[in-house]
Amino acid sequence: MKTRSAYLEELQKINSRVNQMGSEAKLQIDKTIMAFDTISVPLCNEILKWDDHIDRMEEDIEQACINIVVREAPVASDWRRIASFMRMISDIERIADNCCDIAEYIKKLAGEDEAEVPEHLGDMFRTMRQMVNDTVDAFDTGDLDKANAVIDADETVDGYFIRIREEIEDEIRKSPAKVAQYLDYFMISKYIERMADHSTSVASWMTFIVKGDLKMYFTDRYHKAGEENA
Amino acid sequence: MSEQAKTKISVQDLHLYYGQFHALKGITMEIPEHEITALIGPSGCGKSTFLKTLNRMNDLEPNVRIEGSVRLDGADIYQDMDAIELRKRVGMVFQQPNPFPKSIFENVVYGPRINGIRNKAELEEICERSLRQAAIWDELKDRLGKSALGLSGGQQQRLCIARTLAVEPDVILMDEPTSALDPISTGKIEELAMQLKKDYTIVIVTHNMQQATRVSDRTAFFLLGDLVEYGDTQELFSNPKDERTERYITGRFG
Repeated sequence: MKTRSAYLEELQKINSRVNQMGSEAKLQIDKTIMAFDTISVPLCNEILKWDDHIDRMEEDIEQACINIVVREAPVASDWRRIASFMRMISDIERIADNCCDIAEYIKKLAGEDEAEVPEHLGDMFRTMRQMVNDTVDAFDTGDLDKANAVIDADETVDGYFIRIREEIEDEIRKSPAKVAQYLDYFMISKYIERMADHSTSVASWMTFIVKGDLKMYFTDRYHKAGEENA
Repeated sequence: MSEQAKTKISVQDLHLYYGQFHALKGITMEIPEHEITALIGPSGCGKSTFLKTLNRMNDLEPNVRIEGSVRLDGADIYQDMDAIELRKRVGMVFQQPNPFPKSIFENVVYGPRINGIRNKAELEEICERSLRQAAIWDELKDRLGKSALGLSGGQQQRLCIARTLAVEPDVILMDEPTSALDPISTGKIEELAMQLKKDYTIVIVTHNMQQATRVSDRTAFFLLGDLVEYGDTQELFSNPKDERTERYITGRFG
């Protein structure tokens, strides 16, 4: 006789909802890139409006996780999954928030004189999008190699951030009248860098789910932070 | 097990047969001193049988054959010790509280009395000390002469623990000690077990997985007579090494 079928069904349901939330975040990123490429204010408004929906998804999943913990006391990989979900959805929600932050800056740019887009900003956007896409795919299929590739890709995005900052410095020297626009671009690149971090965080939790190794995630992070401070 | 923890009971390649039935299949396990070790597994997995081998309760069963060794502080309990000496050192608490139909006092001092202690003052001292250790002195001190059968199930179980403590054992075996108790009495027994581990080594069989995670330092998972996995409780319940352990503790058996 099959045991705990309602529990397993609920666990599966929460899994699908996390997956769906990831897909929603992907869509928001697609729209953000499109809005950036076309400086489209209506698209920005659409992004801002849709954020409530993603916030509600986070709340619902969080509540479902709390309920299943209270009622079913999950252990082992079930528990690792639930604990990770609760962290992952907060990262996904932050990614969606960052889409809104960028949308606000795009709206600001739309009201300003046109300024040369920093050369690598588009590449940075697309690398980050690929990371988020791969993270959602890796989550869906349980592909740890893909999750690890996301963690590695974070350095590429960090590299873009440094490069773009230099490009922006050059542009400001060349056209001091457009400082405002370049500060907007700089903020956008910072948000993209944060989104890549959140994506990396989600990918790291995958390792915890599959392998149960929490240290890997934390030592990696502190290790990295230590290097930056050195 | 912390690195300093001393092994109290060392089990090497222990096999037990009930007639043709191979109930324990080569169990090897070191039980550390001053820790609580939980034995879990489905009914019929051998965990209670294993518990009973630790104080030779199976000696009384017909057709039982035991191979391998169980050492208590290095001494083989089947070769180098008689059963009476062993059971003084390894006490047992059962699933159903089983007080004798005697007064509370007589229940507690039953062991010391049959061990030859006659002095009233000494017996009274043992009674108070044991009941205090079992965290039930305050509840019972004014009714020591009353029948133990009038106590609640939870009180009876703590009385049985006091009776076990009265002979000053090293090890306390508990066979599902709370399965007949309500959550409050269960909480008291668990709290008691955690206090007692400072002075005793405790091995507990439980069907309640949450109980194992709450009280035990180490957990052993038995299945069909095999010791499938044995390790740190935290580790076993968060990241079991064996797929069968994972399936059992997450309820995917059956």
